[in-house]
Amino acid sequence: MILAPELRAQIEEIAGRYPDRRSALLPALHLAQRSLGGCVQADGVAEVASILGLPLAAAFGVQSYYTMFNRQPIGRYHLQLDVNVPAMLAGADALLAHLEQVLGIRAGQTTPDGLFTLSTVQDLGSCGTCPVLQVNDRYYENLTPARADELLTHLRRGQMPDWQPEAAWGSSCNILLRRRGNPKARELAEYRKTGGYQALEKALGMTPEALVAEVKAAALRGRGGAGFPAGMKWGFLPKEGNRPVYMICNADEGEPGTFKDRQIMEFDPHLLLEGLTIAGLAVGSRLGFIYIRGEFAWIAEILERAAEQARQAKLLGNDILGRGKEFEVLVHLGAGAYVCGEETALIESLEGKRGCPRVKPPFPASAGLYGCPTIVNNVETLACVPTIVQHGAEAFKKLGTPNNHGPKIFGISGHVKRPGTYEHPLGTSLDALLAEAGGVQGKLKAIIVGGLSVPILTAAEAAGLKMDYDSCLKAGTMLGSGGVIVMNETTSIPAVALRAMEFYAHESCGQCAPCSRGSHTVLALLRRLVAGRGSQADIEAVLHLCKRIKGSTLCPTGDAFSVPIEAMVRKFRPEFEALVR
Amino acid sequence: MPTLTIDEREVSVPAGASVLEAAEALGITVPHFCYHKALGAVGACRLCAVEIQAGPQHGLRMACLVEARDGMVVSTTAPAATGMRRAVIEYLMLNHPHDCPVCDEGGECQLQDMTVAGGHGVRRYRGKKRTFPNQELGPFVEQEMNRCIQCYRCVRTYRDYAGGHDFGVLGVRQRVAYGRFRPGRLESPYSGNLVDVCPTGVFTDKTVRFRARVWDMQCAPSVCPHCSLGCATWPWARYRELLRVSGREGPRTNGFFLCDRGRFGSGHANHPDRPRTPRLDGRELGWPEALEALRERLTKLTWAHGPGAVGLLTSGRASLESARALGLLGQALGGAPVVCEPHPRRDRAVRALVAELGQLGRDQEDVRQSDCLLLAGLDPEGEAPMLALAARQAVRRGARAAVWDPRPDRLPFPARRIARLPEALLEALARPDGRAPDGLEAAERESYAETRAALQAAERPVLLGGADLLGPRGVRLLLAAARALSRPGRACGLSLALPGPDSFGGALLCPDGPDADELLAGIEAGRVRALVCLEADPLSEHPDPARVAAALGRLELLVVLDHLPTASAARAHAVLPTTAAAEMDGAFVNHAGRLQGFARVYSAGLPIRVTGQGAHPPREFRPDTPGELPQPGWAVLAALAGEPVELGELRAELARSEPRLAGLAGLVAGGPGVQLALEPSARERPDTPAEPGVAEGELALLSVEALFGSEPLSARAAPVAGVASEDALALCPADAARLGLGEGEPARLRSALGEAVLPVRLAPGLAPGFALVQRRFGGPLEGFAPGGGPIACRIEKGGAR
Repeated sequence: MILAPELRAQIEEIAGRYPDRRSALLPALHLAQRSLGGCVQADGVAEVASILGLPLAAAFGVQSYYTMFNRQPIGRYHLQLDVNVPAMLAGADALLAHLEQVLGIRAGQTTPDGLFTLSTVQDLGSCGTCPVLQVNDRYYENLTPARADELLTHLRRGQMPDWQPEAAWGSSCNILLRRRGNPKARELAEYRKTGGYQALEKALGMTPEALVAEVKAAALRGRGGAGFPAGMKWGFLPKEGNRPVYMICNADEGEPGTFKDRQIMEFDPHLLLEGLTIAGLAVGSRLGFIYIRGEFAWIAEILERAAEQARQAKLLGNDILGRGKEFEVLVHLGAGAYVCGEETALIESLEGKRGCPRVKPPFPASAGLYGCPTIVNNVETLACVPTIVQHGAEAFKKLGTPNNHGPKIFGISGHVKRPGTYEHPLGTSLDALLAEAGGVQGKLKAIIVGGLSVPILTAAEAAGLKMDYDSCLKAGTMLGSGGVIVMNETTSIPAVALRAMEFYAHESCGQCAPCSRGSHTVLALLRRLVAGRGSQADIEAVLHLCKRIKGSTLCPTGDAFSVPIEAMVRKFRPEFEALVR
Repeated sequence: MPTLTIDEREVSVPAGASVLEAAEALGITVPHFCYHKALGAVGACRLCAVEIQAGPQHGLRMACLVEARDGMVVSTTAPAATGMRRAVIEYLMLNHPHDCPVCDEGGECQLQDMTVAGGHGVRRYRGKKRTFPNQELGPFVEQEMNRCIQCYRCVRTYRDYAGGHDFGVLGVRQRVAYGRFRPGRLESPYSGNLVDVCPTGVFTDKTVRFRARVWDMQCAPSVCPHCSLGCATWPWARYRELLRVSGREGPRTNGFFLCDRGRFGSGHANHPDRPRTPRLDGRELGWPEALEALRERLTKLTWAHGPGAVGLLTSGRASLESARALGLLGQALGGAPVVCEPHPRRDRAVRALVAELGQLGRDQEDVRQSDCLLLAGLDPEGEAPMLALAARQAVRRGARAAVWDPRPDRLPFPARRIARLPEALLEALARPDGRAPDGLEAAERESYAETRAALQAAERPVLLGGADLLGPRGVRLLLAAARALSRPGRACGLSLALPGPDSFGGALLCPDGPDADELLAGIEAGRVRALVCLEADPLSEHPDPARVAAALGRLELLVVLDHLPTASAARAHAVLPTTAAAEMDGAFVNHAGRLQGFARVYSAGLPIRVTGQGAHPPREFRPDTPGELPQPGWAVLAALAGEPVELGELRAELARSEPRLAGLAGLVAGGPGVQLALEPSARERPDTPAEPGVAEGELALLSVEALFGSEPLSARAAPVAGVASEDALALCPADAARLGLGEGEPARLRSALGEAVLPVRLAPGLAPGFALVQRRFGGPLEGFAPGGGPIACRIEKGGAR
């Protein structure tokens, strides 16, 4: 046996937490990987599969799907450098060159002494504190070559230093980031002292219908990117039936430019738990999940700790605050797949499968997790729920613009002086946001306002833009997740396009042809163009492919790259043409 | 019934049908890869794009995913749709190798067809193709992963439909591959379906790799001869060699799929030692001389000793028409009766079923649609592999399943199990009060009661059984249980696996002839002096081979008609070569009473040795075809009876003389067949006595069929020779420990079936008190004919094997 008896027992225990043992596959593979020195080879996968009673082929299929699972031995320290667009704008390429030079290896290689494996990864969710290096399961943010050298010195001595990132933030709403500067906010006592869990108490006195009605009345739009009204989503649940209802919090924040949910989970975990619990009560769910991206392992620990505190205080469990209501939360780690941020892929992943999106319909509200009615909401959406319940829909609607109500966390990265997260009402002007972030470094050239998957805006198009769902749509882009990527005049748009495409080609789940083949083809074309070996026909081919891929894929991932790439080429075509000789 | 317009034509389809299916109903094929009638839609290939111009949805949609709705207007030819399809083909061809000239799939490749049809001919992309290493998947299926277009059909078939565990999706992005966790033989008994479902050449039939192009092969609709289910097949032959078998759509039977026995077990038709020339007393003769001489000898014997002097024996392997012709020969000889099976217990079990079945028979489709199943004494993998697959589909739809069987559970679905012989349980189930039999443990009593309640509550319950374990008494009990569970307007059906493809038809033709034991007694008493065996091998199939051997030795004339080189044929005075199913037109009646026709695929004859295999081209030139002499059994027998007939005449005669077979007159090979209108026999149901039990302290031996190598056909097929399981004696660990035997240790097995020294295999699923062997031709277990039910045996530590 490869897995130690304690580990087997632990896997067994985790399996017992889920309605279906299979769901424990990802947690089990994480545990096995950690205990086996960073990789699980065939025999280990076989053991995990046998503990969970899964076919070997299924377990292996899952392991080979997720980026974070290593099947080959790696160095003692796995250095994973985020090189995607915000990191690139913050100088990750120079840091990569530096690391390659001092370690004497290329990305993808391991030092001869077996100490370091250097990898490049696509987005770690730290866009405001780039460049960021993930060492095993810890983040080291705001790195410079000098800081990186210092880090390596520590690591060589066998120490993982405890460095805290320096992140800028601000809030004019004091709802979602209200406790951001409070170092004790993770503690339940402090959270309660600052007004926490009052909304839950109020919710316990309301009927589920009243809760749904309140959220509907607040017109809370989903903060994950699509802006779909959360109350309406809840209303899609079947009114009858005895199948359990599952409430899932989507914390798989992984699109370059997006790093907002992290602020809530890391610094105010109880706010999310309270929102999730109220949502659970509203939809009649007894079990909720927080599906958090695998790289955020330490944030998952924070959430688990907070949940345990809540359990102790009877804020979770089978008799919440002695009022006879039941709700439990499981924190579930993903394993490095962007597509799992799509709700049906997330559900598949939570079921212990490959995170491939499902065909809709059926929508999760009728057949989601384990085939049961399921609601999936984003972290920020759920974090808005307590304030709606506590202060009422009307108060919530006072913030923002018509049809776009409430607070929103904007994550600003790229060429600004103080990249960070800023909470303001929806409809706040982009100019004001940029000013708060210290202003653009240099001259604004282009801006992506909703995470990498929305169409880019030129400086002219972005002038005077109001940051809400409808205004962005009118401006030919989308608010998306509110991840603002700022690019100044030194930025090469073809390089940004290439980097963006590297992300999407890496993250395609491989299920449908236009996305899996299309993304790689567009990537190859862009590579050739950026390398100066392209032709005018290649530019046309990129545009042609983007047009074809748009709307043709099984899930939104096809649109997520075809739309922004097409916009970059169309809006900055001279730059692409300059690359063609 | 929504009514919609597709390409300016109106069509009404059942509610829930997709636009793709609605188009199909109009005869419009929307190009597709991942959609498959039996596997459903997953929307992965994105090829079936259509433009929806009016209705609840608008724009470019996947025809397989959109439900047909009233008032929809759909165009399959709109520029947006054809443009998208062209784009998808181009995506797929980015990585697909241009190896059609050397690919076995060429000519029957959906991707090839779609690429040509879509007009994609020039490669615009200049990058490299992604490549994969291939996996070695065993002797049946060849993998060529680079050809993959990621339609997921293989994994949906292997894992979802067939319940296989060792095959899956691996990798991510554009490096998604399908295969096993590690290279190795595919474990599922349904692995060959990968070949049929793959729309391109990733999975091809390894047994015929590089042997023939699809357009060079002959094929015709046929019926699988490897068990009693009557699955629809396409056998394919070239140069008089049966090369491969693929699945044919059989809505009432196999659906689309086949088991590996049916697919890869057909090499018996090419067996080098198969009888190809009439032989009499060691001399090869032409047909006229052989028939003349035999007719004379048979007539003389009849004249001298009366009509009882000639015994007639057939088996479930023979076609319906051949069995009828044997009966006509009997009439010509003054009324000699036909014995249906060489194994008397099997014979009586089949006749019991045919006599009493009435309208209770259920085929594979009924099983698939059932909502509650009881498998009593059925081991599908050995007796009727596709029946397990049918039951799995029911369970996937939510049906409950229970198993009453002492043998280890090898089913591809979960079921509640009582590890006992089913007889007492069935007897209880057949009683009006249904009280559980005595001697059950508490959990078993509960399980029994739950199963009975579920069967009573179900809308479409089906009892499944195997004639081999149940025997005549068990079959009658199963029938009685089905009747007891039926009520007006809602019958409890029954699906029984029988020994051969036409066991049912044979028993239908002679409901109450003697059985093989009576025949042997006649020979031993000197009454029977000659025996005509039609595709029957009593030496291998009767439970007492020594007695058979002695009896055959007494005969003045043993005539064997067969296409297999059987043990009985080797002993015969006269061997008359017959044709295999693929070499003739004919009909079988399957286990559920469905009459199905099959057509001749090719003419019998020695396979041509193709040049280029190191041998010289043939230098002998002759006007006839070498090895062409085998004739259909019915033709030989009719000629032997002195009344040569055409098949049509014979069928017409049969349809006239047996009203239940009236459907034979218009029977078309490849058609749906005819469900026989059966009435339960009006005669009083005989009370079959219980079989002698096994004494306390003795182990009960069960000799059963394995997937490969147990029934006479696949046992003689070259492709499966290497995969037949090793001969072994299975014991439950407790019994093995009591006997002082460990895994792999030699044990000496003594029983009425014979003696053998075998390695022990520990089978935790086997009920205590049982010993299990799988009969296999060509090994120490050859004489252990299955079908005998549990018999006493003694097991001790064995010496050298």
